[in-house]
Amino acid sequence: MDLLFLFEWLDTSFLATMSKAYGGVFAVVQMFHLLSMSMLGGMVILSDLRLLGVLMKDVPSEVVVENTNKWFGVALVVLIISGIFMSSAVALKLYYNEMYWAKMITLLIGIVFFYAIRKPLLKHDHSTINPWALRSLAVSSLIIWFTVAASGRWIGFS
Amino acid sequence: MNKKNVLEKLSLAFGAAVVIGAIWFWSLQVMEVIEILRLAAE
Repeated sequence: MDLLFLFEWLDTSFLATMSKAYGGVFAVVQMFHLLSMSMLGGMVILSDLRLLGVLMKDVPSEVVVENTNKWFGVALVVLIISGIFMSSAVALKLYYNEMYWAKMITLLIGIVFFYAIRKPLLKHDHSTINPWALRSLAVSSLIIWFTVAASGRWIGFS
Repeated sequence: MNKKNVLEKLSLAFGAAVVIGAIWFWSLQVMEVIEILRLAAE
């Protein structure tokens, strides 16, 4: 499916006018994007390293996961909203950028993985879950979100 | 098979796919950088 029409629309939208004309607005939105990225990264590292038994061993992993999931969701929403705004400034350039699509595909995989596999599985008592499944969950989560962040940074160099 | 077992198996399969996919993806990127550096050195 060709999504060029979507990017053409975004390039001429009100968001694009705002982001291109007002550097200050873009900078503030970018600040929120970066803050929420660090928040999401923090939540991922915290919960996954707890699942791997690396840190916070004195706190039950159920408690860590429950608390981090909440803030993960908040960070994800802010990231997506601010990301759409930032994309509007260079929508057509991004459409032809391979790393942008690598990031978007990984982000989609990450969201589906989080809400369809990770969250439902971790609702169960962690001591009853196959330890290898828990390790696999944590490692794949770390790899996916690292790839999302790193490929996002890579866009600027490709 | 209950839902938990299905999710455990999915998690294991997904983990393997992610590790293989990430190695493939980042190898391509690193190879591209090496190629650029090689061309720049010529």
